[in-house]
Amino acid sequence: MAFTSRKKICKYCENKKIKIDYKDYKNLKRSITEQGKIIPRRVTGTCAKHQRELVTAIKRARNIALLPYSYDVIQN
Amino acid sequence: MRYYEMLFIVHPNYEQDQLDAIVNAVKKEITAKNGKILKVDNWGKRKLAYLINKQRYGSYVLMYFEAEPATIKDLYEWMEIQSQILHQLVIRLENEPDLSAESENPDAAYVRSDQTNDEKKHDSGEGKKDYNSDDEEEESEENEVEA
Repeated sequence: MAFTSRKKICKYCENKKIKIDYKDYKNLKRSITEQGKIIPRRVTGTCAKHQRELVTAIKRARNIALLPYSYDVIQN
Repeated sequence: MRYYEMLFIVHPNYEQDQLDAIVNAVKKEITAKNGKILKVDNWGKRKLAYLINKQRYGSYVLMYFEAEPATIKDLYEWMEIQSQILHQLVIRLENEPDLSAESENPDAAYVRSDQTNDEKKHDSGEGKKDYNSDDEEEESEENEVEA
């Protein structure tokens, strides 16, 4: 029982109304970490097809300065 | 002919009339190459996620157009030369774009969510009023007990 993984659900397959678009940067923000890195699909459970779309959308948003390439981490 | 979508950032010092002049220059450049403008969507000035040419802000303009694939490279190079344009992104669309939306500004949607928050605050305020009135009733009851 200890090693059973919970079932992964792709939220873009579950809810087909959510469109992946680089202009909708607020939605994309959920798929990046505090540092601005793209969260891998082994963590989020996104399916391969939608993760590919996500990655291109995030990279486009970064290119046009809607999303940062990296957030400045304040060093203590 | 193919459908394209272009988002470009104009230098923040250029506003209103000057901004329109730049947008018209871009339009002219596309139509001069036998392209066809489908839609222009001005997002207005917003903060950039990182500095571009030492600028913190920029005016975003989204444009849909039809053009011959061979002309896109020239257009891109022309955009690069323009000093008023900080950055541009040209994307080829597989299908005809949906032009029904009035504005695709992502911050416009954010304003709407703010409004819903305000409504929620309003609701909570009413809730507080009810709570206060309950308190008063309780107090009066206590007074009665004391009396």
